[in-house]
Amino acid sequence: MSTQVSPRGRAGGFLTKYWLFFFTILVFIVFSILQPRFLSVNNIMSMLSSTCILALTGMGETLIFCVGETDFAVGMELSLSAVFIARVLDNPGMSRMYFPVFILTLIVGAAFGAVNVFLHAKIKIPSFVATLGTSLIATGIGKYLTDGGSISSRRWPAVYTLIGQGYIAGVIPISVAVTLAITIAMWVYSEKTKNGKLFYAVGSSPVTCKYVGINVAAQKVKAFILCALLCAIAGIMQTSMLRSATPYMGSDTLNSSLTVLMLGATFIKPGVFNIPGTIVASVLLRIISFGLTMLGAPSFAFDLAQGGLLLFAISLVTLIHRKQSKSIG
Amino acid sequence: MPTQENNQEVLRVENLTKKFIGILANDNISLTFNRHEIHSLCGENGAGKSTFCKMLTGVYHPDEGKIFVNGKEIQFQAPADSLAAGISMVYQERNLVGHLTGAQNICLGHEPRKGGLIDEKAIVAKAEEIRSRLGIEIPLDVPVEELGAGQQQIIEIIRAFYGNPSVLILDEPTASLGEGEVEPFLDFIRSLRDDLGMAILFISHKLEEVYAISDVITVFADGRHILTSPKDKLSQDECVKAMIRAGRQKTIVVPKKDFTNAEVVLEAREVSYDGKKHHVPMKVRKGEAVGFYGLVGSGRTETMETIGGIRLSDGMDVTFAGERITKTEPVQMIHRGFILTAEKRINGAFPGLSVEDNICNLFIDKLSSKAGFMYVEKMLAFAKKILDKNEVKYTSIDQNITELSGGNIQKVIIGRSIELDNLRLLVLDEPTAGMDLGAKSEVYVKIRHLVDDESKSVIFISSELDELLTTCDELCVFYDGDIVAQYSREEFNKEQILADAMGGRKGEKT
Repeated sequence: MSTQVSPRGRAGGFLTKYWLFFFTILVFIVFSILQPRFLSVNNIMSMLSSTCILALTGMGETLIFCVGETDFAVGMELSLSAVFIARVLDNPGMSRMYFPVFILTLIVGAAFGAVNVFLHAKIKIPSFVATLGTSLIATGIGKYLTDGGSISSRRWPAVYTLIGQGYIAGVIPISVAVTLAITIAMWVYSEKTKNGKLFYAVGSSPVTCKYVGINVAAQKVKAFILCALLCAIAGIMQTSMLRSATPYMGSDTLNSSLTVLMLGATFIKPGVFNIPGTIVASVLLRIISFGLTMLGAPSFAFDLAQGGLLLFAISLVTLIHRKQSKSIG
Repeated sequence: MPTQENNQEVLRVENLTKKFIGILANDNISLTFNRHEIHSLCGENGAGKSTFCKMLTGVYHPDEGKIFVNGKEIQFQAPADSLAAGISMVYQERNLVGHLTGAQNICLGHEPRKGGLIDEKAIVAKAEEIRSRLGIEIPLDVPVEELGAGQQQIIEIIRAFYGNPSVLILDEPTASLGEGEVEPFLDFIRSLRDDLGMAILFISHKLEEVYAISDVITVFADGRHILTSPKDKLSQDECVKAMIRAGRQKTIVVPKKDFTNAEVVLEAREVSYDGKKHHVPMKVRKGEAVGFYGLVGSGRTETMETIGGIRLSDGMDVTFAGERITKTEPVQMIHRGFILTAEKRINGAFPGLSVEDNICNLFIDKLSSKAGFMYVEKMLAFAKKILDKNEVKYTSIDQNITELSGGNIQKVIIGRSIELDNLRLLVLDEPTAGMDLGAKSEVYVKIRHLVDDESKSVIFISSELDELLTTCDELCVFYDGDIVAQYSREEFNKEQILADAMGGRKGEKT
């Protein structure tokens, strides 16, 4: 009975596609009315710069979800990179070595991702189990590097805080500029390139990939390494913002990354994990967090809001997927 | 239960009409179903059979018209109402839980309870009671996954009897059965009619079966009721003509060809998979369509998937396009011009992705620059070209592939496969499963066009012998993993081929 498709089948309306964007603006306006200080340039900039970390890890996890897997280790990919760069630069004579160490940290991050995907794609452990295991090991390494506490050092070069605390022309945080550049690159990568297409193909159906000659494992390798790299950048940025590093700084990363990528999957392409959606959702989540704080709301209010949004987003995505899979013959 | 004998009305519908946005799915349908009668419903895909059944089972609510059960008008608000009125349906898809026993599956969802816990003894007793009422021998204490497809289907039907129905609707019940399982299954259906006096509504695409089992035949086309006739008064030709909308079925012409000097594209001797070596001597030549016939699980799919690199190989003795193939990856085989369409249609499509991406994913290298950027306009034009060429019905190129009908998804899959630049061999695995006659004949025409006009080679794997006999130049018969016989077109002999597929030549050398 299904040769014809109802004209409503496509698009699904302007509002359903862009609701997340309008909702974000609405939330922003509401907070601005309730608390005029909210609208200051300062506040907006610090809100954006605090969005950076979440946006980076959220994009990383989005790529993983695109290939149909889960990375439980995003938090430790972030923390370990932060602890690593903090510890190495804390050594005497290293203060001139910031950029080489920066690169080395990225390599360590990428290696973390490589181990994850090796365990998953080669040893065939389900990805969430493999990454759960590696993240526990990374926690151990992190605690060893910091003696279980936090690192903050006078030996760090001035440039250490640049990426997290510096400004371009005194207004735009460098962190925001860097994140924006990475976002654009990731957006182009996921939507306009061959690799992006292949990611979505693997996420849609690994079995079908075999029949059309797509190498599933190769795409997963790219996704896991990219995700770990993005988390490593986030880690470097966060330790630069805080001027300290601990193995626990990524403890919220997984939860909030999952929230934003699920919320993001309701944006533009309903049911599809996508970079622009993740970014809009990250901004939304930070607006809510800042707004609630400025209104003096108790800290549990944000947890309630985040949990509610996560469940709402997952319900929506699940419903959309159910509708899609209904009609295949 | 009424005990009166013979043709007595149990279910009647008057002027049933159901509209969906823009389409009249069922137009003014009036029918009567009697006890002790097997009533077949024929029609192509989209003729309105499923809509009709869904109104009988309370899934859809009719826009107009009335339903009478035992002469009394009843309005079904939900499937439960229809069940309570004694109408039970067995769907085409299997709905059993593999690791549960037959008895547990039969009582699934309404298990008898004792003190809040499931009473396993009562489950067995209840299932046994239904089984003995139906008078059939089938083991109910083993996990259903250990049973054959035919026995599983019978478990499904026993389950449909849980609520003591007087009308049983069977939707394509034999679609998943192997050749040897169909006849015993049909006997079972006959016994339901003769011993229990059931009214049975039988839906099937296989005319042979319809004629073997029916008392009355009804034909639907385009949502309308075309005719209802006792089987004896309706010839098969008349029935087919009634089903097919004018001009949709095409004639297949297989020209006589001499392949003695033709280039050999694929030559195989042995293929090993799952730790076993299989003897599969075959030669596929340029411009030739070779049919693979055999029961489900006889090695047709497995052999070709192993050669294609899709299934893990334990070694093989195969030559393709002049190259010796040992271990291989799908992508290498595709580069060499070998492509296989999946046996299960869902494995050929990317659900959730657009029609455009579903086509272009096979040509991703061709449609992207060296730096890895997609050529957006080229992709669009390419996808559109393939959709038009294959007459796919779609509303938008961004549309999710799962919104297309099964037949149209198959057109996309075959359409993109034959577009490969250096295509040498196309392997079609059950390409016509679940399609109506019109759509099937389009596939046959396409196969002949490929081999006759474009000098490609095709391997056509199917469980329907008739379609292989009409379409192919040569036929290989599989049994238990091996090719046990080969026939060229002049030698085609239906009885002999069927016997071969049932193991008639087991042990003989070919």
